[in-house]
Amino acid sequence: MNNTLTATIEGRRLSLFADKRLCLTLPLDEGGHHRLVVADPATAQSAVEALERCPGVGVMPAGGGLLGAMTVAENFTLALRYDDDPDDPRDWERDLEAALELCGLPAQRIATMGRQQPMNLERTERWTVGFARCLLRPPELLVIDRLFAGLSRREANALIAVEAVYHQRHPFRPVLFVDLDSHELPALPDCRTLTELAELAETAEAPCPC
Amino acid sequence: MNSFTNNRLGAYLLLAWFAASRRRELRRPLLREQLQHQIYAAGVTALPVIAVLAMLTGATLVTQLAALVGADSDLTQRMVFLGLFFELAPLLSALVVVARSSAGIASELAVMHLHDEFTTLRRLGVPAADYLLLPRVFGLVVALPAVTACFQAIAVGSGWLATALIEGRPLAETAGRFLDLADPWLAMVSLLKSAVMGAAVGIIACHHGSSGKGSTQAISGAAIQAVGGGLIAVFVVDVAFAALVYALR
Repeated sequence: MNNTLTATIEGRRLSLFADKRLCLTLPLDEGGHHRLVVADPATAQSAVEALERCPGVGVMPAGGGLLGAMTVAENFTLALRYDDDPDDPRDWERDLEAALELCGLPAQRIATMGRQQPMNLERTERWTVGFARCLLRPPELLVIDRLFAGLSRREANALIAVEAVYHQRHPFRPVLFVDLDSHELPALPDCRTLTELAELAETAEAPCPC
Repeated sequence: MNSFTNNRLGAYLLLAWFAASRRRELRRPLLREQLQHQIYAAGVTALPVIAVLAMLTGATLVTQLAALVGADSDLTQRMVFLGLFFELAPLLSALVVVARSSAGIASELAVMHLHDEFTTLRRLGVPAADYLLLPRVFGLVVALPAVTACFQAIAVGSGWLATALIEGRPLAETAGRFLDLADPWLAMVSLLKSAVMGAAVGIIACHHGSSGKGSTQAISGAAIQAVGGGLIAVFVVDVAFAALVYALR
């Protein structure tokens, strides 16, 4: 895949172009799930990078988007309090505990998790932490970057369940799953658009799948 | 070679401009915490080494000068002030900080670069350049003059003590003579010189730490380049200040 991918936001609509040809449009105020299936990791990487350049787009990578050198609590402090007004009375700790509980973590685990480093968490816990952060600071568009790669069916279902919590809480904020083309991609509930970027790469003259 | 030097110098200057223009960001509580952490790491933890080095340098220099020109000579006191207080103290303090912090900063940033943590920071909504570079550069700008002041105090104190022990003079008399000849303006310039050295060392270390290739070899490469560049910068600043003071006199 040698196409150059670019993304723009005009009005309340995000457009993704491959070599200046429109291949995906997403309304940013209607919510719902969308899926972009790509042929190889390099294309996935460039698609995510192109999307990420647009303001208001948040990316959830496979590791949950946490800094390895910090504890989970320090990661949250950094993410939630960087732009914080020191005079703002908002109790982030309580909000965070509530968000983690909402994502299905037991209270006992929440109490011990803060002191741990992300690499010591289970894979499903890393996403949960990432989703909890997004629950509190939701982006305009949440891009889920290849989270289904190499997952068991049980883990994939757990991921869909955690994402459903985000969707319930922020129903008008769309979520775009960027996935690698594989035989066993789990079905997404309420998936509004499915774009396969691989076809575009193989047949440059072919009409856009979307 | 020219374009190599120009590119590197250009990158240093660009980073210096960035740090100067974004300095107000350090008002954020989280960046202030990082700044304090950097001052502690570069300054406070260097004090034991600085204290030993300053004590030995001060005592050795004053003993040698006393043997050469006599302990009661004004020339000895002037040389202690200009040679030890104004020249050696900022230079040796900067060398200690380059050896300890420059390699540390560069390799820490290179490891973060290797693990793509600059992108992770951006995704957390934190500008990586502000969060990582500003506290490190300004941490050294604050820490190095403080370390230099400690070096100066300990080195001169140990020199007075050495003179008092060798010549059997009262300590207060030696100190009084030194203070009569000391130029407060030059004392301030020596601290300003240290601050400029700190900025140069910080900028060079941050540049090499954050701009290398994302590979394991790049970590040691960044540390080596940061220390090499830092040493050269320290001497260039030292010569520039010496020339400036000479021209102003």
